[in-house]
Amino acid sequence: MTARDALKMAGVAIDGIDLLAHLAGIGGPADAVLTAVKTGLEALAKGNAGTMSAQAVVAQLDLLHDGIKANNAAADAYEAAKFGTKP
Amino acid sequence: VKHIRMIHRLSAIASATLMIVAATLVLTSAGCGASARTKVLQTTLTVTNAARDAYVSWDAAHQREIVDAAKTLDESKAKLAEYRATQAKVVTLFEGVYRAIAVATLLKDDPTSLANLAAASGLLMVELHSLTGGKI
Repeated sequence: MTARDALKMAGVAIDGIDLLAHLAGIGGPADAVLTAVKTGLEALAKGNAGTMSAQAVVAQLDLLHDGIKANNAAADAYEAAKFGTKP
Repeated sequence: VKHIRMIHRLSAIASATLMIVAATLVLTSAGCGASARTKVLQTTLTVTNAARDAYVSWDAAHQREIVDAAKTLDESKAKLAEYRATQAKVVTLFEGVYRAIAVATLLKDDPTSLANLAAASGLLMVELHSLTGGKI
């Protein structure tokens, strides 16, 4: 199933379909974003999101916190490598 | 027309989210049905997740650029600390949106929860757009 098909099945308006075209042109993170949207919309199309719970929504926050934590650690390590110090 | 022009200036995710915000406000004022309300919440969650992934990706590259641009360790640490204050603000805004979605999911009959969600989404997307120079 293409992302466009998933969008149509989810009943997202034409503006939502245009969103995919925009996302594809973002640049660096476009593939990751497109994949995230496609995965989410395929879940919608399959009806999985019909059981969306508050806990599941808040759990999405963990992915943000984990990502930021990993980025900060990576930047600290990169800084240490560049200047020859311990992170 | 002014609002439409403003939306066109914003990029991908921010534009889409503002459309969702507008749709949310319309649905809120019209007293939308359960199905339409659920669709708004699901779509907002999907777009917010996409914005989160885009931000995490941009954040990694941006921090590396800060270190690359620094000439000394002290300068690097100072610039990273300065940026991370902004990063904390963005994380707080994301938390606000996710919690607003969660609240709107729980309070199915409360129309103000959608309005609160729309406000939180709008704040986040304006901040992301400003911070990333329109890349998000």
